[in-house]
Amino acid sequence: MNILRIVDKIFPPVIAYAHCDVPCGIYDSRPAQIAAETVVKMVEKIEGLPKENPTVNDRNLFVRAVWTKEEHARKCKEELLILWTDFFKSEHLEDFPNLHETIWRAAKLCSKNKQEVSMDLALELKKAVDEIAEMFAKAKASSSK
Amino acid sequence: MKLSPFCRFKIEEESMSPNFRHGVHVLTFNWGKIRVGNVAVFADSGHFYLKRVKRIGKNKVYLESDNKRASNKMWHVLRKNIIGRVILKY
Repeated sequence: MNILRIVDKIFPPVIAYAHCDVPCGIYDSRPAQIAAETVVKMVEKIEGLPKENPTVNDRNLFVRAVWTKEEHARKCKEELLILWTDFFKSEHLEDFPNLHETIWRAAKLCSKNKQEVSMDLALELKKAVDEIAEMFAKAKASSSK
Repeated sequence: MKLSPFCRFKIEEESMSPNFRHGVHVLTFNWGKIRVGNVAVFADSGHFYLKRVKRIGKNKVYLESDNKRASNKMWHVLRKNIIGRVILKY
């Protein structure tokens, strides 16, 4: 450990925020949840399309649903990463020791849902995001006390 | 704080990543000139912030985050509120 870090242990440094705002505190888990719910809905639509003799409109819907699933899985991952890197702090690990694992798993599920059409995977993603949303709500509630 | 030539800060949050991640410590030099491209610490409303100098006006310094995904905001602060520029990350 270098000498400055030793000095910091004896005389703690001041905090400087590398953040966008005051800190703004403007975080929300709903965008991630909406994105995950959209992935579920799109998988439902894709799986509901006829497998034989699809019409032009069926094919049009298929393309649009796949594109929307892709976009919302990407959006879900983006929102989760914002919560993980900007909202959650090291002290939250005391209350949520599985925080990193849960977000990592959810991010992986975002990618999996882009790669595949699977209701099981879509519901797994939704469940993981809801779990993160619950942690977020509890962390936010305890920080506003 | 400006009376001292050097100050130590601990960085929180990620809007200056990947160059300055959450938890990194920095040393600022407070007596020299600030230049465009420097990473500086400034004071605002009782808090300290770390941003990169984008432009220097007559009385104000304009700063922004490195991580545009985290923040697109442009800060403008009075020169007197600039504490110093980062000279060391540790």
